[in-house]
Amino acid sequence: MRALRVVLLLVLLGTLAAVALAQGGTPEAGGHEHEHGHEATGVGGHEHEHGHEATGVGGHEHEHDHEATGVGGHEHEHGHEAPDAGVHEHGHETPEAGGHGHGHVHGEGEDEHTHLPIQMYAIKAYFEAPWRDATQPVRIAWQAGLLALVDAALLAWLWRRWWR
Amino acid sequence: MSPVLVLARLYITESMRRQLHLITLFLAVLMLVLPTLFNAFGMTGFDRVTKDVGLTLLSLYAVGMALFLGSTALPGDLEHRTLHPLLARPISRMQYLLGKFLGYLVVMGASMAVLGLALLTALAVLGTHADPAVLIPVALSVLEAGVLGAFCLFASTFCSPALAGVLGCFLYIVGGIPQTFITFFLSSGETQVQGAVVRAIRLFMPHFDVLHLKDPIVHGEAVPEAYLLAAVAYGLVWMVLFLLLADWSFERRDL
Repeated sequence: MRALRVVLLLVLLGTLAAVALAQGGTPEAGGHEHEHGHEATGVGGHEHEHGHEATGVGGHEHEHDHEATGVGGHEHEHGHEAPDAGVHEHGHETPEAGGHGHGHVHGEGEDEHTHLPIQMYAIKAYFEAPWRDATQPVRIAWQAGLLALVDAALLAWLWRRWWR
Repeated sequence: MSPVLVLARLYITESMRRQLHLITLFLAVLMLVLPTLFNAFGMTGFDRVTKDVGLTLLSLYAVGMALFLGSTALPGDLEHRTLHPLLARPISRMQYLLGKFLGYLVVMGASMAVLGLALLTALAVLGTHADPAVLIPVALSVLEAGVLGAFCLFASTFCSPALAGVLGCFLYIVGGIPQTFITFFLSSGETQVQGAVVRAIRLFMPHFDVLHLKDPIVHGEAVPEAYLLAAVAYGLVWMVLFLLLADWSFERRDL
């Protein structure tokens, strides 16, 4: 078992080292998180930043881009060549542009699909935050108050037993 | 040294001997590589997904460990006959339970701290930025594990470890149902009866959903300090209640 422990610790340390080393291999360490990549590099066109300011959610930027520039508009802003209409590539030919991703090719409308669930979850999380639950003061406060009384009574009773 | 602290140290040593920390280390490695897994697919918002999945794993780990450790602590000593020589010394049963529980809390707290820091490190290195707020749900998971562990300890004073674990599982599932789920899905039409039953049962059990702050934290919501303090106090009163009940039940037990 001692050997297993040593191996596991080595794996842990190795993973840490690999993660630290991988930092250099992932430009801006952001991948497709456009909001941060753009902020960090300042590359990426004004449309992106407008998208962020307008929504505050992070994820609408592509919809705005498509609307603003038309299908396949991304390649113009970044100076890429889009192989097909509606398909854009990130960071393939402009590594100096802040590493705008990992070279994935997206189909038309894909971004909306991948962003939407996250936005939906964000909205759900906002409305389901426990402190926004109007029923909570009623259902929790009386329970907590009663519990504190029961705790005190039980403690007093047990205390008498302990000292007897 | 106080008997409670001696017993707590004994529990920690025993946990190390049972190799429980190996599970923690395995999970820590997983935490470290989580962002890589999600980023490898070029997912948008991968840091949120990483936080979400990481915190969910941590929460499940805490619940699993609470059910396992809480329900086996006392029966284990009874089974191995190590309880009797202990209680033959001038140690009260309450001190024994407190020592066990304190040791359990230290083990859980240390494990969760390691895992939380692993997640934070992974987010800092491979993610976009490290959000220290992820440690809030981690700390509340420890509190939740404390409540659940205290309940399992109480249940194990009068039933078998397996049944204590099942009861703890039931408590966690019913107590953790989000209020919004009850409001929207168990309050109208055909589900009214089920809703009424769930509400009635939940009157007498801890509402774990009060401690579930994962989703708001993942999506960058700021948690009001007053709420946080109230949630911690709520968890603590339940924990104290279950510990006192455990002592009450254990004192009555004929060993």
